[in-house]
Formats: sequence, structure tokens, C-alpha cells
Amino acid sequence: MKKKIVVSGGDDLLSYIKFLKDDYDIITLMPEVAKALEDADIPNRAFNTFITDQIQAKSSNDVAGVLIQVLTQIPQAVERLHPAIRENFKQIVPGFIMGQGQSLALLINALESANPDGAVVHNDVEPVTRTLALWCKARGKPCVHVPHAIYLDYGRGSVGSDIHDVVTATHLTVSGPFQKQWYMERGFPESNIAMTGVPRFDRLITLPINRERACTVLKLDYRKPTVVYFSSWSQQTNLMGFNDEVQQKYLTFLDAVRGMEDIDVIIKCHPRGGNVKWHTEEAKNRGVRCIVTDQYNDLLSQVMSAGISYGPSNVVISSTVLGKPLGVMCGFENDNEIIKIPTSVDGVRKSLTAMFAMGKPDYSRFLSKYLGVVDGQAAQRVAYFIKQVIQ
Amino acid sequence: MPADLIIVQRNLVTAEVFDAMTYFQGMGKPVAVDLDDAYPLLPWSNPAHAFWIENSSKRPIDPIKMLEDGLRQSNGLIAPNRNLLSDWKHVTKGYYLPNYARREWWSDLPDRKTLKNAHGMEGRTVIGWGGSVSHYDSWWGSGLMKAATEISRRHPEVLWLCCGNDKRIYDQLPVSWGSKAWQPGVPPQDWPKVVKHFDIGVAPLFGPYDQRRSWIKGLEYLLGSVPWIGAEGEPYADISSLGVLIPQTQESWEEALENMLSRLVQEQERSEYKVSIAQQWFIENQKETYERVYKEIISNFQARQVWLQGVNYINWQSDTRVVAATRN
Repeated sequence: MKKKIVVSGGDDLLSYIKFLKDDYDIITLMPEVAKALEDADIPNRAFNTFITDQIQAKSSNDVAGVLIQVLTQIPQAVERLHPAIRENFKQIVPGFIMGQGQSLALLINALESANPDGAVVHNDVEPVTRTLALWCKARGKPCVHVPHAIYLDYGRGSVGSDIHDVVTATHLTVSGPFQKQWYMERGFPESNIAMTGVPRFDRLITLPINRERACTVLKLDYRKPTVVYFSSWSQQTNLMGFNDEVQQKYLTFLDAVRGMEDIDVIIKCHPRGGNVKWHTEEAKNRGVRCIVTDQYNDLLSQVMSAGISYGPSNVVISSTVLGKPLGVMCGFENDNEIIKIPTSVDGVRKSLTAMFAMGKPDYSRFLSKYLGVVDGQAAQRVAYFIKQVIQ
Repeated sequence: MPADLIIVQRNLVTAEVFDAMTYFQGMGKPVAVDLDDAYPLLPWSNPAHAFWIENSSKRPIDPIKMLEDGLRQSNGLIAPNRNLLSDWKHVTKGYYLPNYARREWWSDLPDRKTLKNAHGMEGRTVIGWGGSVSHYDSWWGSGLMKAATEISRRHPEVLWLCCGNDKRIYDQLPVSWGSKAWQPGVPPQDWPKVVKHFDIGVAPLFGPYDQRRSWIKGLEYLLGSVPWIGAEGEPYADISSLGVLIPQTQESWEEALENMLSRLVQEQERSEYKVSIAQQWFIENQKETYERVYKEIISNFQARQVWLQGVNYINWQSDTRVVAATRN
């Protein structure tokens, strides 16, 4: 009889789950993940099939019990708050508890019913995935966290000041030596860490490059170099993220490339940033001829002659895997291979000229630090580790 | 209109042609240009030099510039020489498509002996060549002209048969009148019969202009079972194993011709076997090649028509269209 695992999702899931489908009965936490696996011919069972009428009723009762306790304690609790918001708080809290609490209660009760042998999560800080990891911990079951991002050598602040410092899972896969060290500094036992690399970068190793064709599809002039500017959104996972640096750096870049007719410009927005419109408007208002998109990473990888990232981002890693000259406007002080671009119009222009003129950079040390072995087999290593842990 | 692809044969020098290109492209049809000549490199000795290089017609825009603009507007360049494609890669994508022969023109030909006897060449060793008006420099610059003198001196049985439209080559060939003959140009379907007279075929080249020619002379010699000597370089690179390719110096020509004359019978026997190899290059056998090239042109044209969702073009002007000669 096969072991059962619950999987939460993540961009890398499809690449490694295919190596597990013969060893496990897979339970998918989210409907969209269930569909994605079905489309890839990977059998799975949707988690909500474990949510019976009885579990629904029990979950409601559980939450109601919590709510009753909270309501009896609210009058004393709100005394600590400013008088102007006490009433508002009293009205918001019950709804919040019923809504969020109901979801989490359903999750826990359904997990009790499904009784998986372990879980694989793409993060363990969001309410649902954290609850899953906590349930595993409470029941003595392994929970493997396969991070969706590579942590970069850029000061996030002291240990414990960033949400990513919180580790709820029992086991971790990490991209490379730097990320492994990062978690060990935050108290995670080395014996529970596997340095696997990141599955999503496996594709980049074998990505066929046809620049001319990709330029044609994007309506670019293949004879001109193309710069891709990687923007982002303010990641407010710690206090250091509360600033407008992302916006200011983007505007500086726009001012620098305005009028440079001998290059093509692409603005790549973060896929979850939700700010394509803002980037588009600013480029329009500043008279910059460019493409703005938050999609088509493969196409952009092929047309890019040089890249500029606003700052620390996984796009720096993907660009270096492809061997493209890459500059950043902040961060990576300890990584000399990454070009540091002053946040000034002149600085951006000079850096661009230098990057277009340079040959293929040597990123071997950089990639070794962040990705360990770059051989296109990270997905297999992740799957192997999961099989070792969830037996 | 049922056509999927429009091909323009080099005449990108008038407003009407540009208008036609624009029309067909607007209708969603790719327009490719077919060129087989290196117009920017035309030597002074070529009569077309005056038109293309000197703008003798006094066109408002230089013909070479017009050609470049037309290529830039087109959806690709088809040429039978890779150097030619490389010359224009800065303005358009190139597609290599060699010249091929027509099977019916090379079928049921009389044998060499019969043809030679019919034209009073019995007992002579015919070294033949045919070409248009653009080969004058090829003969002088390659060293073949001077080599011919030495060969004829040592081999009085040799008859140089010059064919085509440029009588200067025949007139200036420095051999005795009895050692050369002139064959005026013939319709293309009759050319194979002329080639079949040759005991040896020659294909001299000189300079960068000639390095942009097609392989057709070599192919015609092969189909005519004529052992041949040609120039090293791009034009005959793909059939180099089926002929003798040499550097273009008088000494090389003399040596190669001497060698071939000394074992002519064996070379002619070998050439019989090469005919079947060369027949793969009848155009009737190259349907797939044409399909592949044309489909690629159409596919690339269609790729340009795709506008991806989620890709926003900001302050994006479309490419400036060519301004034809008479629009100014």
C-alpha cells in the first residue's frame, strides 16, 4: 500500500512530483494544483474530497467554541487598545475568527481524516501551509519544505526579523550552500537539510535559445541588443521592505534609457506584483519606448542581451544560469560577479554600455554559492530526499 | 488570391514594386526577394555596373540603396550562395536555395562523339565554357587566360570552345585562331546539348563578386558527364568532391589542365558515374527542399504577425516603411 502525502503547490511542484507519482498517493491541498496535476497525467486526490458533512459540522462547532471564548475575553482585551478603535475591533474579530478559523478547522479535521504520512509544502508561513506543517509536527509526521525562492546574500536584517526566518516544517530542501547556511544560522538542524538545487532552474540548463525567432515573436529588432529590466513590488516581510526603492529605481532606469534608440528595452514586472499598469503608465508618461510584461520568461531569456535587476531577486540567478551579463541597483555586495549599477541616469547608461560590450561572464563561483551543483537534476534530488524522509 | 508567398526577382528599384510588396504584405502574404548576383560588387567590366553602381539612369535614389530598402521591407532573401545571404543579413533574413536543373533538358542527349563530329570537332579535345556578360574578369583575373596560351602551345589538339554572350572572352583568348571557337548564346533548353560537346569543362572565378555565384556551372558539367575544373570557394564547395577545385592562378590552371588531359579517358569514364549523383539536383527531385524553404519563410512571416497577450508595447512606432523613388 502506498504512502500518502499532501502537497500544497508551488512553481516547482510539477517538475519533481512526477518522480513521486509511482511511490505515493498524492493529495493536493488546492483545487488549481489538483487540476494542474491532472493535466500532467499525475493522479491525485483533491483535499476537499475528505471534507465530509460531519467534518463540516465539527469544524463549525470547533470554531464556535473558540469564538465564544474570545468574545468573553474581548472586553478586557480591547481595554489595551485606543478608545477610537475598540468598538471596531470588537466587530471585526468575530468575523475574522469565523472566516479564517473555519478554514483552518476544516483543514485540521480533514487532515485527521485523511491521515497522510507526510506533507510537502512550498512555504510554511501562510496560514494554510503553516497549519499543515504544524499538524505534521503535532502528529510526528515529516513535512518537507521545498522553498519557492532562493535566499540571496542581501541584508534582510538580523535573525528573526523576517517572516522567512520562521520554519515550521521538519525538513528542508535548499538551493545551495548559502541558503543552507542561512537556515542553519536560524537554528534549523543540518541533518534535516538537503542541498538539492532548485527544480525550476533545471529547465534553464536545457532551454533552446533562438534569439532571432524570439525577437521576431516579440516584434524586436534582433540586430539590436535588448536590455531586460527586472522590477518588483515592495516586499514588506520585514520593516526594511517598507520603502519606495523599487519605484525609484525603476524611474531612474526609465530616465536612463529614454532616447536610446540603438537598444530595445523590456520591463519585466513581478508575476505576483500586480503592478504592470503602474509600470506601463510611468513608461508612457516618460516617453520611453519599451515592452512591459509580467509573463513569457522563456522568451525574455532568449532575447536578453543584458539584464538589470532593481535589487535582490531570483531573476539574478536565472540570468546567471543563462550566462547573461547582469547588473543590480542594490544588493549582492559580497558577490563581485554581479555588476553594481549606481542608481543614477549616468550610472545606468555607462553600465549598460559596459554590459553590452562584455563577453560571457564567468558565474561559476556565484552559481556554486547559490545553486550548488548546476546540472539540471535538482528535481530528481528533491524527489529523492522526499522519498528518504517520508517513508 | 490563393498564393501563400510572393517572390520578387531582384527588381526592387521602382515605386510600383514597392507598392506591390506593401499591398501583398498588408494582405497577409509574405514577400521574399530572389537574388543571384552581388550587385554592390559588380566589376567595372560588367555592363550592368553603370546602372547599379554609377546610377546611369539618374534615378532619384541610388539603385543599390533602393535594393537594400526593398530587402529590408521584404520578408526574406532567397539566394543560391551563402556569401550573398551573408552580405545582406544586416537587412533581412536569408534562405539558401541552390539553383537546380530541369530533367527534361538533360534527357535523351546525343553522346559527345556524335555531337563533336557533327560540328567538325572530331579529333579535337574540347575545353569548353559558357557564360553571360559578367565573366570577363573571371577569365583574366583567375589566370586561365594566360594558362590557355601555355596549354594550347603544348597541346595543339585542344580547342577552346567559348559560349555565351560576351565575345570579348573569345576575342581576347590568347591562343591561335585554330585553337578556339565561338558559340553564341542559345536558349536555356538547348544549352545541355552545347555542354555535351565539352571534353573538359572550366569554371574560373575571380574576386569577391565571383564568390557569390551559384554552383550551376559545376552542376551542368556533372549532368553532361563532363570532367571539370573549377575555383575553390563558396560557389562549388558543396560539390567539391565531384570536380577538381583549384586556387585561381595561372600555374594552378596549367597543372590541373595538364593532369586532366593526361588521363582524360579515365576522367570521362568517372564522369559517367557522377551523372546519377548529379541527377538528385534536378528541380523535379527537390520539391521537399522548396517546400521547406518556403514554409520557413511563411512561418517566420506569420510569427511576426503574432501579438502576444500580456505584452504591452509602450510608445511603440511600427517600422518606417520604405519611401519609394517617385514618392518624394
